[in-house]
Amino acid sequence: MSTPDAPVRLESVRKVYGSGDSAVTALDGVTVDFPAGSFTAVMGPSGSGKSTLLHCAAGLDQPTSGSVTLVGNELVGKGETELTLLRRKHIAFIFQSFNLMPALNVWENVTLPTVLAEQKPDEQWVAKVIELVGLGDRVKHRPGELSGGQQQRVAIARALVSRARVTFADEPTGALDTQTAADVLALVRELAKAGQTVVMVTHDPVAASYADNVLFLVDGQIVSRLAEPTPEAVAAALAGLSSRAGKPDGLVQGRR
Amino acid sequence: MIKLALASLRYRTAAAIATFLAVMLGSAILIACGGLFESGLRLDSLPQRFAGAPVVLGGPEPEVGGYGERSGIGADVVGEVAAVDGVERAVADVSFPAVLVADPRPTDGGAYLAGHDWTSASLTPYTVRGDEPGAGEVVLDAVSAEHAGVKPGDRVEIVVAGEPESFVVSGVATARHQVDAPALFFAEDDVRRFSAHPDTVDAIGVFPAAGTSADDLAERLAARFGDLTVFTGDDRGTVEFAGIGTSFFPLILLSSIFGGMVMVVMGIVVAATIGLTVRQRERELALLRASGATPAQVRKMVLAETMVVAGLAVLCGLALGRFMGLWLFALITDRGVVPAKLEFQQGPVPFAAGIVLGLAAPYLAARLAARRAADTRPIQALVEAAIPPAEVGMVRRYLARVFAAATVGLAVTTPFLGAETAAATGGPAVLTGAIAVALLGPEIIDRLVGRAAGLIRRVGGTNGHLAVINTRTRAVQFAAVLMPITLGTAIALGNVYSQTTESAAREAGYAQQLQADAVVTSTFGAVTPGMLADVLGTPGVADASALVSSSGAIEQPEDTFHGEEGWPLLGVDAQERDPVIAMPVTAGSLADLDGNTVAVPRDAAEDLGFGVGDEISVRLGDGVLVDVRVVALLDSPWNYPSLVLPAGLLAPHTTAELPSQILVRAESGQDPAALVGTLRERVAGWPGTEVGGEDALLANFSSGLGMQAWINYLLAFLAIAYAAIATINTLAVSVLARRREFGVQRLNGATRRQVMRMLFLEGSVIATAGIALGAVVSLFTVIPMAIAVSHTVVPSGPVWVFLAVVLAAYLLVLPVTYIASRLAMKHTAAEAVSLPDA
Repeated sequence: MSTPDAPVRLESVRKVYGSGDSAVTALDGVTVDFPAGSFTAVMGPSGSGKSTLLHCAAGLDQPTSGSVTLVGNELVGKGETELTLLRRKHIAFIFQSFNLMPALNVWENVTLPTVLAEQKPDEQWVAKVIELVGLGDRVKHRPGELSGGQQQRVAIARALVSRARVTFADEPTGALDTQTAADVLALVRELAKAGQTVVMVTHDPVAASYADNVLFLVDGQIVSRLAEPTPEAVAAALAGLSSRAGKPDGLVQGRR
Repeated sequence: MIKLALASLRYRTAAAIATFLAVMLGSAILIACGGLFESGLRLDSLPQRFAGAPVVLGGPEPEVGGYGERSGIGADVVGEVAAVDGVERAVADVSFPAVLVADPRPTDGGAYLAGHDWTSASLTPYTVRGDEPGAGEVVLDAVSAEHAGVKPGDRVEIVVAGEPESFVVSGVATARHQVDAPALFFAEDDVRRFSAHPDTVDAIGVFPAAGTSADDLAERLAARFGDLTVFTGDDRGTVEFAGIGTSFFPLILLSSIFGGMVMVVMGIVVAATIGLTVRQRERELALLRASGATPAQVRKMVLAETMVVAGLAVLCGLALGRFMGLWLFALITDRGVVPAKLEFQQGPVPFAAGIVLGLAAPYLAARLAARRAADTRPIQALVEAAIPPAEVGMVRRYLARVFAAATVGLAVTTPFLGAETAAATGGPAVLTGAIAVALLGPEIIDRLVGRAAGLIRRVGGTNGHLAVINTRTRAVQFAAVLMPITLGTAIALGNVYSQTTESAAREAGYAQQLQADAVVTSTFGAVTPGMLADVLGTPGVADASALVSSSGAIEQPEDTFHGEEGWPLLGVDAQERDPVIAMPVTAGSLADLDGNTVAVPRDAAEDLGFGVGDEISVRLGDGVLVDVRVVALLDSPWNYPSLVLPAGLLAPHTTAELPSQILVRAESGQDPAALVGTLRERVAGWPGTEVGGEDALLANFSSGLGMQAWINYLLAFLAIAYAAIATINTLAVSVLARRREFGVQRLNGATRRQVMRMLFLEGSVIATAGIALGAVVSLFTVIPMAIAVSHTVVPSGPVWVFLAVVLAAYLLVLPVTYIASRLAMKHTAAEAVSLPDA
């Protein structure tokens, strides 16, 4: 399934941490495309390499070998400043927690990437997006004054405002209750509908069911895919993975 | 970026305040030092008694900076000056010691030169009520007359040139300018009688003819009389007030040493504070990077944040620097280090220098910290704040080695420099040593705590266990607290103990050269032949000698050993039966010490290649060069030896013109205490005379030393106070930053009290380490100093200083820990864990 115009493409990506006897292979020859407008969930047991996949795809970490392309730009071998500029232009992040600059209020956090790119934010668009994520009455609040769900919405608004081509989400609902998580995930899906490529790492089958596709990772390799997922199908697939890996979850060798 | 920096600053006030205080105080102290430096360079002092004369001529300026005594002008020069084109009138001024017994106000510089000839009253000028003085008469200034409660026609007793004499007050003179010093005017014939050198005058006031400007005339006079010093405007006070000219050296020295010290302290403190605040925000900076900030943008933001704070701090430092300068200057003039009549000058230059240095230190520190911040990888936003390893980088390690090597180098050199110059290299060793420790701080903490882990655990139990883990893993943060404690302790112990060691050695050296069973001191600054005769005639007195102290230099043969520093000079009478000179005579005889003669330490004579009977040239304190014959070689103490000259030769070349002390030797079998009593009765007729035992000799000498010591203590105190504020800063910031961690700890079952006890233990560990390291660093100054001045490795000084420093360090660390931890734990544990980084 090769889509040459996919905003994010990984080809034979290997990532090895450490060296010699203590070397750990986090990614073992991963080749995958994330097409435009797609919403992909990446799943797998702890230590399967899903976070490493996200870091490499986003240019936060350099693979040991292989190639990563972001909107036609090769990321491997680029310097920190170049990578930053590419990320700033094309990528938005939503993390599990600590997404926002504590010193800045909602509006300032949402416009941060634009400001860093030394551009003037489109005020109407910003106001509309903040309204859209349901924070119209909290524009001047600082992150410390917001609930966890509200903080995640700010991060989503930030991704929307920056008009990023790709949004990487790392367990965006990991710290939220079920209802709040559902609201946040619905918003993430809106991102994809708006044409963004969304890649989300999660271990929650319900969260994964919001995606169009699910990738399953074990020991640094993509072992299966699931299209149009339901929570039940994802849970079943995960159960299969655990037995296949032959090791109980949590004891798999790995790093972060 | 500036906007972001400002938002971030508003949010992180604690850290911003820390940097602010460090920079503000640092630049204020630098500006104050700059003021002292400028005052020393300009040496402005507004004339008072000479205020009426637009141009004032003083005696020749000695080549070697001056040894502090007033120099004279030949009396015949007055006529020559008057004959110069454009001079309307030239008035000679003669000053000599005179004290109104009813009003013994001391004048500046400790010299009692209140006596003047009546003609010089026109230099001020004065308006007189009554008549001008004839022989046996005196005109008093209005203030003196009021204090003494006398009016024209009354009789007053005046100790003039050491002898009490009775005069009739012919008039009372009111100065048309402010004149603080008492002035007693005598008739010309009387003046000739009192003056120690009637053929010279002390100054010449010049009134230009109409149409001639003072500056032009001054230039002409300077060209005509090349060997005299010519002053106009605010410089004229230099001639009027004793000690203005010699203020140059102490002021320049003081301000540069202190300024340098503060610059180093500020550099270290600011670097520690900024480094600490950057490290604590690692996650936030990573997030900023993940949000699309380039390394360059992060660097700029950290720089911008720091420079905004530093800019504000320097602005406030300007005002504070002015006050601090005035305050410091008032302190040192009150103490008589420099004359009060010297003007404090703090022009634009000290302020500009304060601004530049006050901004440069934080800029450099921020550049370093920003480089580290820019290296933050965005991925770190996704993980818990990484704990930086205790190992320091290559550059730091290399620099630390360089500074450690410099410290050892200075320490090794100091003992070879001789007692007088040892302080120059001894002092900086404290600073280089402290810098080396600061650079290696994290590693040192890791190792020290690792060594002491067993002990800390035994003392603190569970808390001790946690404290060991925390201090080792957070070694980088704790190093920021360790630095100022180490620095403060090192400066305190280094400065104070070098000073006490040096003072003790000087006193011992002085005491070794003289011996006396009783000491007669004139508080009016003059003992006369009459008084000496009275003392000699006292039963039980075996011998007595006047004593004069001054300084000078051997000029011929060229003295390469003592060149810059000069020699202490002692003036005594010829020594026969029971010498007051305690040093054994190895060749020649002190009985010949009369006229133009000198007794020289044997070692110096050997070094310079002369012996008994040879002629050498000695530059005396007033700049006059005299040829003297060597009559004796002395087995002087090796540290602080003096040249010994006849009192009669030396005294006229001192500002006071007369000796101020008489040393008395008792006859064998005579009880010294009883002799003191007898002498006291005997000299009771001489106003202002005190009699003391042997200790009075040292007491007088120490009060002179006390001045220099006092400056050292003051500087040490200020540097320590600065280091103390830095300690409070870094400690508070580092504790407050850990509030989330304390929240987690409390959620896991720790009580507030337990957390606090753990923090106290950590604080004690760091304080102890800081004191220990500071003490070790100070040894690199103190021990070489002890070797240099006394040839032993044991420094002398009171133990309480060390105890006070230890106590101060704990008294600083523990209460600050208490307050900061109270603040850090004001939230409930559950709230605390969700708080952002402070």
